[in-house]
Amino acid sequence: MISTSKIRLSLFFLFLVCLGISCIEEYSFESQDPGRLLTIEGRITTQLKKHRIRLSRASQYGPDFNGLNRPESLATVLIRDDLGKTISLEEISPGVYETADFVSAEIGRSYNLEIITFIGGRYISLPETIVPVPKIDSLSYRSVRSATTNRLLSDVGVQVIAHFRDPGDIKNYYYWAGNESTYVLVTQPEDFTNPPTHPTCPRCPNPKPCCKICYRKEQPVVNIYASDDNEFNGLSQSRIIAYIPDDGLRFLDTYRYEGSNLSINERGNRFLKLVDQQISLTGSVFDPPPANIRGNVFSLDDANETVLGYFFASDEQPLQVYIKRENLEFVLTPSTKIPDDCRLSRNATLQPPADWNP
Amino acid sequence: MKHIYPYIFLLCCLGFFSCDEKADGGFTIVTEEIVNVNGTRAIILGRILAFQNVAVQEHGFQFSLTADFSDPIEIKMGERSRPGNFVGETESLSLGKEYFVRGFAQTKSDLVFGNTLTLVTLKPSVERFFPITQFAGEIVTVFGRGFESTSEVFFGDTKAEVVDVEFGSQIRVRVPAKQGPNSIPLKVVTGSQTALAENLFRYPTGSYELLDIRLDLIRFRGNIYFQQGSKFFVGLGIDFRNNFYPEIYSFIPGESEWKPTNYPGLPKRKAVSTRTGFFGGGFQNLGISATYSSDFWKYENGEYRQITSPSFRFADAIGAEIAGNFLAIGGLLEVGSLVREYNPLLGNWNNLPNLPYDVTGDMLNFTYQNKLYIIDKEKILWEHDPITASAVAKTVYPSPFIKTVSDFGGLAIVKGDKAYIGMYNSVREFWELDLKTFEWSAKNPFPGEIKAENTAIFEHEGQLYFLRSLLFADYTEFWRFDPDGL
Repeated sequence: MISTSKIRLSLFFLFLVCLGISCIEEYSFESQDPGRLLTIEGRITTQLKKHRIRLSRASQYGPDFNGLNRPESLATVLIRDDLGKTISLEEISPGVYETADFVSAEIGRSYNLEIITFIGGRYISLPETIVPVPKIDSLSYRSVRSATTNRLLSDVGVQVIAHFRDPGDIKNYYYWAGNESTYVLVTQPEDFTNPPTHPTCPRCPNPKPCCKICYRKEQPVVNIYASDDNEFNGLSQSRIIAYIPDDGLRFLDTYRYEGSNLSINERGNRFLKLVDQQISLTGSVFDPPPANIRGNVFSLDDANETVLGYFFASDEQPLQVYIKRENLEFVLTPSTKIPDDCRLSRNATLQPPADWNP
Repeated sequence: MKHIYPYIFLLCCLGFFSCDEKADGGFTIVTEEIVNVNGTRAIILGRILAFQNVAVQEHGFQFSLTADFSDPIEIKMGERSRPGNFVGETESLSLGKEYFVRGFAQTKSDLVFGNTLTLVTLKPSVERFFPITQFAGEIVTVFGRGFESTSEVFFGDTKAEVVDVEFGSQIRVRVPAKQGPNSIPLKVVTGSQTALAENLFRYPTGSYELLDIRLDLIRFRGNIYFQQGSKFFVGLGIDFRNNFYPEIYSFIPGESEWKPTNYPGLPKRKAVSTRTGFFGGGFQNLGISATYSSDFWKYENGEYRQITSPSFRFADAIGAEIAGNFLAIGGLLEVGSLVREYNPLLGNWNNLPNLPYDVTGDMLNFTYQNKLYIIDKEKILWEHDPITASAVAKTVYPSPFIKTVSDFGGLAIVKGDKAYIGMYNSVREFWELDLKTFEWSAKNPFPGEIKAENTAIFEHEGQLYFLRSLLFADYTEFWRFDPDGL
């Protein structure tokens, strides 16, 4: 028999527990709504090509989903130099504007980006003067393995390293950006099996005769590699300019890294450093506090309106290196298997790029 | 009495602290940056630096032609209480002048100025105009700087109709009727200043003459053509009924007919050929799985000589003679960017670096100073050095293409430092490209029957000759074109 006093004691304890839990209330907050901020991404360089500017409206970040960033369409976009020359850009897809012709910027000239939105908002960038970029002499690469929070899994990837000499007489700022790259995609069509919904033989082996080898293009992995020459002014340098994580597919054969060696100014370097710092936040107590990252574009109607992004004007040296599997010390094991025709993979074709020359 | 001193002390303290007054916060004005100067327009960025709100009744910028800011032009931007950036824009400056600019702020009691910057407004100038030849009534765009919205454009002494002035740097203008010489100066009058274009504007030239020497019962398709000295050659390929032509015909200006040359090889179509007498490859028959025709030939000293065939197959490919060697490039049968070179002295084929893009024989091409020029389907003219494998985009073909209709079938030939390009399928445009400056000049449009296919083009004594096989009549027309004819 349970005594009455014990029941009372239990009930009292339960009451205390309920009281404790019932004290927790949901803390609801509303983030400040800055409206959809205009965001600018793009650059003009000394390479003769069609240059692109991307315009979008940033969505609000908060507990509620407010939608994706929306492209800013139907804007008038111009690039002007300090001699009054104007280059107009055309919208080739929503929010993406491209110079109508192949054009190149000139070293020593200053460039402004000017935008008139469809509803009449006027924006202009601060003038960006192009300085020559110290040329990279050669590229090399090495595979690296690093520990992760999972003790059983290591992070494997390839670092691309640039070798160059920094001119000692002037202050230099560097920005190494990745471009669309290509790699040999190796799949296993001989291991193809029927889908589970197959009417007569689900999951039965059904090898395909083709195709095992394709060439796949991919957009660069988002990493920011920018530097000033504070630590190596006038010295020969070997700097990591890109890191390509091994996803089990990229380095099964040959990977062609393509990038650009770009000159930037102090303002651009500060912007990139801050962006890099902010996107590297891990949520730990040692993280730097959130920062207000100022770009170089502002509104002509209200100079205090926040405009995100940066318009770069740079001297550009195209970079390219073929990364071959046999030269890599580490690769991700086991590699990723695609038991199907490689042509069915996204952005994969049988034809190599016309200038493929590993 | 002795207790009165603490009270006196307290009273003094209260009296001292109660002296604080509410005052305007101190602030500094910075004229931060000249953002943009273009023509009569200038955009300036300023900033009010303060640790608290400020009571500014008026703020803005002053522009002056003198450093002491006498008689300044003011941009007034009204009241303001918060520190921060402000941006001023004016369009009332004079062209080609040096200005001093500074920010200012007016408080209830004070007028505060920022630091002074200087700027120079651009003098109006004409950088170029496009196209450099144009027909009366059509549009020419003048590119330059410092153009006011009231700018006027003159062709010679004739004032033209300005369609619009955009961004202070582009004027679209309608070409007036020709009233004198063919080449006339072009000038822009803006404000009180005049900007003269460096090059003369030219009305288009070019006269066409249909020669009375046509190829009856012959209509070529997938044929070859070449020229040696003043002798023209055309032949092989198929007719419009898919019959193969086994012969190559020749013609010398001044003669009255095309004569057969007794080509000893088998007929073929879509052979790769140079404009100088190398040819080979192609197909022996019709259809998707047509048989490759592997023999290669060189016409020289009045006879056809068979040369070594390459180990790769070329059909509907581009052929070119560069530095005396025969280059076969791309096509339908192998990788479209493949380049192989035949050395006639050694009699062998060598590999050259691939082109950075795929090509087929229907892409217009020509050679000039040992470089190959190709117009791709995006209208870009590429300059290709086959030795270094470099490819540089030089310019863009100025007429529009209609995909799959007018992006093939055109003509291209070099005469001196000029290339003559155009007459793509179903269009009449013909252009002159200056190979030194890469500027395009329109020629008078082709006046003949448009439902025809170009089959060959030659050059002799400054005149161009071309053949056009009619689609709906069983003969090939022979035309002469004088590039400078009026």
